[in-house]
Amino acid sequence: MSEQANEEKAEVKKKDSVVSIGLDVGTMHLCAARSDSDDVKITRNVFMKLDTDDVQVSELSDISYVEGEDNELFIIGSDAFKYANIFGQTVSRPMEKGLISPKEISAIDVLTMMIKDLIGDVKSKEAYCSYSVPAEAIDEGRSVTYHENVFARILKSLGINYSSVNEAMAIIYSECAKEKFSGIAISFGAGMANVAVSYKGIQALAFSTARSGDWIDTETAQSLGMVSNRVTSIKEKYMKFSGEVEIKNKKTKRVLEALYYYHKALIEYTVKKIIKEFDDKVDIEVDEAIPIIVSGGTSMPEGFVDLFRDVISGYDLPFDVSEIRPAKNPLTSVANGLLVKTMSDVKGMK
Amino acid sequence: MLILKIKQKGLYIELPGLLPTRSPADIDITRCNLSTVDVYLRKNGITNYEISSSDDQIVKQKELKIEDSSIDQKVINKRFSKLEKMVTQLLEKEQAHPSKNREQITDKLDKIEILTKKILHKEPQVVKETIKTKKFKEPEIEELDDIFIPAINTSKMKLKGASKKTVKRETHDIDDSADLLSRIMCNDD
Repeated sequence: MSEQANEEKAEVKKKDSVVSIGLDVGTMHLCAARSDSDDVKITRNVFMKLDTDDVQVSELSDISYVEGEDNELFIIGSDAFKYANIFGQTVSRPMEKGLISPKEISAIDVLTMMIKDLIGDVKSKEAYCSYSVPAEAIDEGRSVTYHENVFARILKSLGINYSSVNEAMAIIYSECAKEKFSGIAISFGAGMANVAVSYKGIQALAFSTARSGDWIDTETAQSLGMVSNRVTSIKEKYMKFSGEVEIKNKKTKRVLEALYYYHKALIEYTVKKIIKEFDDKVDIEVDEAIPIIVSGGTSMPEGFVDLFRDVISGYDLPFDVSEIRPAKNPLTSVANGLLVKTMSDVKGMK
Repeated sequence: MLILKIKQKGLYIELPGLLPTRSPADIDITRCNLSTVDVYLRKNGITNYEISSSDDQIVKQKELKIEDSSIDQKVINKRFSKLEKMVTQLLEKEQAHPSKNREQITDKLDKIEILTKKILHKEPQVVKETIKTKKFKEPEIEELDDIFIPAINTSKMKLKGASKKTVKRETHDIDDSADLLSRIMCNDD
């Protein structure tokens, strides 16, 4: 009896020493979920380098920042975004169109610090992490290889075992358990729209397009002669596709109107690409109706999924759709799905 | 096929007509105009590079030495005669008021003497272009991996404040989902 108790005790101890992590590496947000916590941590994936001649460290008491070598200062996360908006500057984005940016060479160390902070303490634990990678884009020639390897190295430097998982497949793992992981997931992120078709947990098709939230912001900003940051700010504050919009400011109204047209154009573009890619590349017979899960930060404004339903109803789809539903939380869905995948893999290792 | 090999780390290379990349890199420049490539490299101060042809495995390495082609012989001659005139004027001045200006004039003459000596002993600076040939060496895969992904060193970095926000997890049955996924994957295996 005492032997069995000891074995159980050892099993519990081993379970406690292993931590599974899901890390969503997005253009706009970094998001981490851990098996030993019910909390999901989110931060903006942006930073801003400060001129240390102008600002003293003591003045940054309420601001999150990274202090680097040679007294370099980087405001990170939402604070960088707020600071940039106030001073009409542009934030540095470690990622661009879903991939690590080739322009931000100092970004990797800052990014490592942000990820370390987000994941939290893993010392004295055996840590396993699945991190998100986009699928190759069908409308742009950038490869995901470099991006994938940079994040592998970041996690390695933090002493974490790592594995990359397609971003849209992570949504399937998070949202489609009741359909035994069959479905179509669309992640409208900031940099890219990622699509995956899954049949019983197996990826049948995955691709991405380089048009998503940033594309909407850039096009709107260009159309109205504004800074892209400002458009993003208005979008996040006021954008909704259903119900009354109580805005009196004419300029804001114009921005929202332009944003509506570009959101619609984005959905149309993505749906057309899904139909084409499915026709060209999916060989399996999907005889049952499958759900479409809409997720990602760009899908967050109220009524976005209704607009999506409206647009897709105008197309003849090569598969039957059981329902179109939003992810439970479009911001944390990928991180949760990645956590499910890590936990599943860890279980498989036993 | 022509390959441009840039060894120096961390440069953002954006050759006209090609996708941007980060060095160290081997870039296929077969479709590029060589002089455009040359101009781009010079403009960005990139001197440590090789252009190789994969067909004959021959590497051409350009070494550009200090350029100073702007000095024209006519201009030099003009300046020398101007200097000559000035020295003559100084001597005339000294002869007119020998004691008054002697110290000042000797000082100036000393300076001119030093400058002239310096010019005389300096090697002429000419654009020199040498072409070296050597066998192209295939880099090892392990070595490539280490070179391409930048080293991460955050030991001297500190993070202050809490930029992250916390959201309660929506999916409570995450453990059940992981079990189900694990079972489905095992059945497929």
